[in-house]
Amino acid sequence: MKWSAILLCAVVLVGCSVEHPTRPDAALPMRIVSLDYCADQYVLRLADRNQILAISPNAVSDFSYMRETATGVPTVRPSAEDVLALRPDLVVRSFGGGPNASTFFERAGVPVLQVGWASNVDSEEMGSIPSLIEHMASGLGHPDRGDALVASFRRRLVAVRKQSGGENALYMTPSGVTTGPGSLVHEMLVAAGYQNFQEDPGWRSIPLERLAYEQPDIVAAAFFEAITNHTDAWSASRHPVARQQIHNGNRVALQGAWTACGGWFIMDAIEALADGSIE
Amino acid sequence: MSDQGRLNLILVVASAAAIFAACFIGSTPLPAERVIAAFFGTGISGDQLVVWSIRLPRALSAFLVGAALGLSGAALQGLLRNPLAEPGVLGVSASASLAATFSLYYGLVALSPLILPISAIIGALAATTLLAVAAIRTRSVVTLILIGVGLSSFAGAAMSLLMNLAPNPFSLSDMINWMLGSVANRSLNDIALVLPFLIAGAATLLVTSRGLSALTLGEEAAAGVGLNLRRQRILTVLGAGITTGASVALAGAIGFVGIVAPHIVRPFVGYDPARTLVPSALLSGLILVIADIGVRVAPTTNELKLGVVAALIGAPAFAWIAMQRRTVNG
Repeated sequence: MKWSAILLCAVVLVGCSVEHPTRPDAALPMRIVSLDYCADQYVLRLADRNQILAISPNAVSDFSYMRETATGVPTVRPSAEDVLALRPDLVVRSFGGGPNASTFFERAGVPVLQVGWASNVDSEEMGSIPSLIEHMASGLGHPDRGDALVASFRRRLVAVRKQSGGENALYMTPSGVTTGPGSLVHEMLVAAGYQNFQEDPGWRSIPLERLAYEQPDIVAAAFFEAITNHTDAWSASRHPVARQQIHNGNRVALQGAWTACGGWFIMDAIEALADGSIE
Repeated sequence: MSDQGRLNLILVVASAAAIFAACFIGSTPLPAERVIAAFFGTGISGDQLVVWSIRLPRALSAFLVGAALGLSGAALQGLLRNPLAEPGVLGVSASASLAATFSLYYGLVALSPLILPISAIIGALAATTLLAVAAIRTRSVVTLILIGVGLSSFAGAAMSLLMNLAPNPFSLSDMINWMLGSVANRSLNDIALVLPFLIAGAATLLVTSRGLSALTLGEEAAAGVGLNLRRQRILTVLGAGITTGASVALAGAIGFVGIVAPHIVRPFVGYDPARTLVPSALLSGLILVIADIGVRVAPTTNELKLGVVAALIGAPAFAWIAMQRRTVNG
């Protein structure tokens, strides 16, 4: 009874705070549970350690940017039962817990802070990374940290020495997948001053036959360092024609953690690409 | 020229034509004259790369895989005296595919690229051996097919377990390919890796094919005319296992191909199992090359998997052949 009263108070307070981003410190969520590694990044970066109850088991994986900060933080699998047993006062998620998780936790009286879908680096449109950071920072009770992170993100973006000679770049993963316009990865290439070698929109297989005729100026090779990621036996990126294009001294290695999720850390990838630091 | 010689000649010409035709299809629209020039080594280097390194290896892989499965199917049908025997139906392909995935999943392939075909072959041999032992113990064709179904389900379940434990979506998509079968992005390197095994397996089956004819008389009569039954069984099982395993290492598990071709060919060769082998192999290869052309010209957003198309053609054929048997045997 006592707990449900406290829970109710928390719900009311958090519920109010969504409308008023400048919440009083007393309403800080102090029992945060994060359900997936995308949510973990924001929680680990923007919330205090003592606000965090548990994060997802993947927070320490290779593809998690904040993996070092995540070390030692308790983890929980994103099952409704396990999460509720922790009595969280805020659940943070992007995809963790499955499509019905938000409805479920809200019905159980736990507010849910949803990581939005990042679709561009920094523009007026929906889904820009600064807007994502601000949304998360205010939801976690630290709008000031969000502002600081956005400021540093924008400073770095302005400082990027963009490629300006019309160079093109091909994004490539071990499974032979690349992407054209309409994805954050495409926006990342553009932000670094490149034209995307893949002009057809959406996620698709790398254009193997085109590689026989044209060589991209650089290959943005992501996820190739991850040990769990054995090369797909049918991947176009292991075909000799594609391999010739990767190993010709035009490969910029991107860590999987930079692009596995939409966040401020994509700036590391943009800077690496703009430098064109060939391996 | 004998009927069989004529049949083989027609199939060789048709297969060569289909493989050549496959070189005209790809993501880059290339005019026919440029493809032909590249094929004969006179085109620009990009065209030659596309034709010789991308399109031809893919078509050749489809042909080799089809031929391997057709040959194994025809040989197993002769040995087990059962027109429904086939590496896919009997769970041989699925076992090979499981073993290959297992070796990839646990990183054994990092030790040597040869581990991949060898594990697929070990998987295939384990399944064929089990089937051959079962065939000696039970005379019932139905029992044998059921054992195959059991093997196939087991391999499928174990594969699902690996998929369940897959560390990320990339590994998952790879495992699905092993189950569905595809020759997408195959290169001459991939073919070179499995070719020695394909040749060894095919040679074993062809050299011992005469024994399969003797077996049509029944096992006792075959032994009576001097057939060493034990040796025949071992060699056919070994040959079919190696051939199927190598084909799985190249393209994953493609089912039902080995059942259609022998069935079509049989009337033309007087129902002699020994003479069924070569035309079955050629026809199966031809079918898969044509199916792979179909996969690529089909107007779908995601390219269809070759194994899916093969099963769409082969599974109804399997059912039809099974029903025919029922009417014959009452």
